[in-house]
Amino acid sequence: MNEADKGPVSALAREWARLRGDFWDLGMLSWIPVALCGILWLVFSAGIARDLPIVVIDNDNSTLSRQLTRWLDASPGIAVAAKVASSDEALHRLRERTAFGYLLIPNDFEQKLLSGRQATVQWLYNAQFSSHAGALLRDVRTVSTTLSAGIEMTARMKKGMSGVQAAAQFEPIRTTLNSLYNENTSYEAFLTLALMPAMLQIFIVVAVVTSIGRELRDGTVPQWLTSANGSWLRAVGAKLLFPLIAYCALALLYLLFFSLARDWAVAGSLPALLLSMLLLVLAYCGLATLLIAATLSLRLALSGAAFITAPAFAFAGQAFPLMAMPAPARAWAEALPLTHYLQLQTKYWLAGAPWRYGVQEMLILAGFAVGCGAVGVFLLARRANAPAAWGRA
Amino acid sequence: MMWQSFIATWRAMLTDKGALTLLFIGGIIYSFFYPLPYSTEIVQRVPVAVVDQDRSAMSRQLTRFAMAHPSLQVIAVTPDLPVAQDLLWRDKVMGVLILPEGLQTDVLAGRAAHAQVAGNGLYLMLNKVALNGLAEVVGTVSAGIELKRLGAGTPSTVQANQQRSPIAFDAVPLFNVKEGYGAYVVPGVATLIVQQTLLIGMTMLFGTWYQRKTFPVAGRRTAGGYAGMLLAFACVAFLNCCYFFGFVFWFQDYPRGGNFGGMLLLLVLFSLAEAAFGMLLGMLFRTRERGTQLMIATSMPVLFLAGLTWPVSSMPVVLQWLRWLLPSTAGIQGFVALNQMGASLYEIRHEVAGLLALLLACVALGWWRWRKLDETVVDLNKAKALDM
Repeated sequence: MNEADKGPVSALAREWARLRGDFWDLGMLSWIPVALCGILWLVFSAGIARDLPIVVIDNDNSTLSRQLTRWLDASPGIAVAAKVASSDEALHRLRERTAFGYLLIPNDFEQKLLSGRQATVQWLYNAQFSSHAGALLRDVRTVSTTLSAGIEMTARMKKGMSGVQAAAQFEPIRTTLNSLYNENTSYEAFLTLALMPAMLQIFIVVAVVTSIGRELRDGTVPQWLTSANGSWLRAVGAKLLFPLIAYCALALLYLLFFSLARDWAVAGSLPALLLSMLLLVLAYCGLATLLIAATLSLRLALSGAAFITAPAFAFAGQAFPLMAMPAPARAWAEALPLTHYLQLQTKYWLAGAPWRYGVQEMLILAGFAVGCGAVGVFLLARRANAPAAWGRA
Repeated sequence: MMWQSFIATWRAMLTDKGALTLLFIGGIIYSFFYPLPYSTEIVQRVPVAVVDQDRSAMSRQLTRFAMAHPSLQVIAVTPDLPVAQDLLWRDKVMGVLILPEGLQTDVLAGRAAHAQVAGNGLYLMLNKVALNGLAEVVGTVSAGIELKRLGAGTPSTVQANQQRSPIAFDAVPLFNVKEGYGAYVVPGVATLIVQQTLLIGMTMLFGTWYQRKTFPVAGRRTAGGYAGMLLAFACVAFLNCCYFFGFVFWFQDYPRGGNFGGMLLLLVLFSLAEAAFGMLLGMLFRTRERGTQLMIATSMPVLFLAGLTWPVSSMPVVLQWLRWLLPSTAGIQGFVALNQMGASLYEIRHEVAGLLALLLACVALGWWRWRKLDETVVDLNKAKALDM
């Protein structure tokens, strides 16, 4: 082994010794991300919300209105928590959040329907709880439409049509609705899978920023650089290696957990997905290096990390679509590696796309890694080894 | 003693640049930054493709209706399914209307014809708009055909329409009546931002005091000293909440103006609970940055545990209980109910009770830690070996 080869080993050994001596820093590379990702998964592990409470105001109290109420309760997404007498009572339930909507059945409901006229039911829902309300609206509408169709069919058959004839007549063009790649519109698939990399990027930036920033804060840059034989590339490389390994392992862990244990098999290109994961970790290693190199202050870089990574998921276009965002938000979203990675993950993992559908996004991620990383190392080399850059708190 | 400690804590907050930024500037920056992606509030003109394998007058009519639909934008009409698949994988379209061969023949022969509507289920909002829009297109054309048929046997179109759909369904959104996405998410996140910036700022101050062996409140650790510091930090939470609930909700035009008195009462309780929680937490930290590191990473789980975006009843029972240990859980639910829904104090009694219990527990534990602070400060060198 010649002199040059010893460099990285001792820089790595130095970094490893530091990590081993620090319970919390080591935790940030291991059990803390696993625990927090685990909690997130647990929150959404039911996948689909079941038995959300609603109340019914049945002003008719007839056979048909009671049937409608029973059908609502039987629907898996709905639980009829109570029948109440007035809108005031129903609104009280909504404000108390023990019900998320109420169905108002008018007093002439059955009478109108039996005499061949149209009756209107009103569904009033708490739109402040948008995802609760969205699931409920779909189910309540389905129940009401089903009952409506049944009544219509009965009326036609009374007029002497056969069942088949009546069915074909009452809806000439039928529609089958499909949610591709996620038939049940499960939140476990749609949200949890996307939240895992969103957590990952937070940890990567915090770990890298901490690891380099600490040398600056403590003014130990000369020792750090000496341990890398004076090479900035090696010095930074030694800092990035442990986060890189830890977070690639975390990415693999959630890939294995969801694809094997939770049955969300990778439908598209697995090699492309693995490469995308690696590029995500590298891109954020690069971004974090640039962040600390630009600020030269652990505190400022951590504040920057909070600003960039904590709200990143809101900008990433998974919950609220990119195409509906105003230009500045869209621009910020495009400047986040997470946005591009999530498009890759969605395509390769669940939508089943072949590798070539993500080349553009992968090049962007690689660009982030190389571009930010290079500028970061350059800035560190220029500015970090000067006492003026140390000790900022 | 209490006022001395109150003033000393304020002085410490205002003279620490890092804490000052977090406690007073952070919330203001986030208040403009976080609602930004949602400022358009609703999704319009979702790109879709029509796969027309029938190429009949009827399929062209369906395509024209899709083009005219306000929430859709037809960017491709093709007979080939693989073309649509390609567009889906490229994220160029979010939905597809498939009109199979024989559609018109079936309809004319009085047989039920089938059209398929598919949306990208991995983008829930776009999926919903695409599915609803395309289903409406098919429904409208289908209803037109049916009405024509019924019209032959019934006297008026009104009557025909009533026969066609006996139960009319009228959906009415309450509280967030415009159904804006930002109006749904941001009020909850506002409380989270107040909590997280406060906790980061507080752990930063406590960590720094520990590191530098300086403490703003000198001498014996008295109850007055504890109370003064608690009040000082509670003021920060109070001011930040006032800024969000008063200015930001008005500026962004979110639903508001609910129960003002109730809000004020919960606000006092929430601020005290946050401060007590933060002090208990802060006394665990030995370095300036440790709290920041941990707190950035916990923001997302903490938000989802509040039960605003995902029903509490669908969480595992353990989490349904554990989530009450965070002040944000009761805070987010309680403030949304008061500010956006105009709930009464009785209607948020669980949140009030939860915060009260949390406040008492945090004060009890915090006071116990506070009295032990003397020893730890003296014993700094021993502790330093344990934790940097």
